[in-house]
Amino acid sequence: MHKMSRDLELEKQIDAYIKGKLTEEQALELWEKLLENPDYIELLDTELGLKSILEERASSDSADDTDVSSAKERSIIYSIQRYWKWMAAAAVVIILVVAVNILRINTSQNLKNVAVKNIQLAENLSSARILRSQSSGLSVADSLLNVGFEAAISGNVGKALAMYNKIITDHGDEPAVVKAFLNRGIIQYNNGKFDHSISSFRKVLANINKKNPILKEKALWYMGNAYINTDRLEQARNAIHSVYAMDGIYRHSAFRLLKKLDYKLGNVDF
Amino acid sequence: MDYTQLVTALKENNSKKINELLEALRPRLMAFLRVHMNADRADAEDCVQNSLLDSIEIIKEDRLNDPGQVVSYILSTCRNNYLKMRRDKRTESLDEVSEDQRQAPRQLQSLLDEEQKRLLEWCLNQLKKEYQKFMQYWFDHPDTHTNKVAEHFGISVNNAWTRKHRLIKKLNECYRKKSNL
Repeated sequence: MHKMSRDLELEKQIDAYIKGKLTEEQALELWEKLLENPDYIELLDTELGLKSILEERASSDSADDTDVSSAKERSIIYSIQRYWKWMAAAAVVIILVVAVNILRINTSQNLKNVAVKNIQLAENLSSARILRSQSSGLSVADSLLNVGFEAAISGNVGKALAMYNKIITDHGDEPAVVKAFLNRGIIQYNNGKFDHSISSFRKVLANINKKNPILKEKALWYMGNAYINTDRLEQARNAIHSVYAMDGIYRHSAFRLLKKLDYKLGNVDF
Repeated sequence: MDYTQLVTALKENNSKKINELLEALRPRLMAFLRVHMNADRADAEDCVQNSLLDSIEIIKEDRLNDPGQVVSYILSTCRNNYLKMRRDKRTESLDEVSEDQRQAPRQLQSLLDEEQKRLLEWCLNQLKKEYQKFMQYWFDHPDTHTNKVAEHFGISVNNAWTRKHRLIKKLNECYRKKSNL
């Protein structure tokens, strides 16, 4: 964002708006000002995103607090039971039985159940950015991407695929082709055509621009999951390990999946 | 941007200027519909397109009394068209929809998708702990006056607003850079 001039009054209004303290009339007045100060629309959007992240954190912290309270209660009960040797012994047996059963469930859990089952289209399909196109029109390939996106989220996956294939065939030298391959791979994944999706994700990786690590990370992540679904666990591990090494948005998920893959591949000593 | 120029450009039939102004206005109206009215992307696109066409017709026919009110007029047209669209879709009466709209507090919709949100969270984690706590406190205490926030962090009220502005701006720049937009 270029250097913007500050308007403290507007900032206070935005704050009140986000906190739900403006009437509808006041909110509309605010939006009139925002239309004339588009930099603040971007900041408003960032602030809304931030608010939702922090609220999620706060609610997760409070859930943790509840867990701690429950743990304390359990601890008190356990203290009482210490005086009843036979009850303690029975508790130990019960705990052992439960632990063994949990272990059995975990170890026998099919790796495929851990892989991504269905990729959310609205969140993961790439499209051309509307908000950033203020000063220039969309290219034909970008427009096709958007038509494909709209078709996919409206349930017309066939039309979406046709749009992405058209980009790949007719606009192979444009940046949009990488997104078209990714989107095609996602749809193929959801259709259970994992081999086809792997080919599409490979095309993403072959054509990706270094400046776009997010698309690369997505392609690797879903390719790794597709490998799991085709029982090619070594390839899956390589892809997921690359995702983990990228230290990006799928890092935690990749770490969890890597542990399971390593266990399955016998890469760890027990 | 001075939108009264749109009135002049339409009267003078200055296509280049008209297009320039409409292209600037379009994404901002989209943001209004999506954030404020909770519109989905497709509905917002349709609605903005129709509203701009309606507004252009009114301005061309010289039915807009005060050119200074052009932003307000276009915004209201957009809002009303969207409410009508919803009414038509849900076969509700306009009154029922309006009643809906009055129910506070409104749930504002962020334009960020899940991927952008993850990036924003990554950026948030890069901030110093002290600044993360500042933002957490700000949103955890929505009813607290800025005086109290400033007091809590040992800074002046003006500095509290400045700090908040800078942090939001920094986060905005970070996730945009990170997503290479």
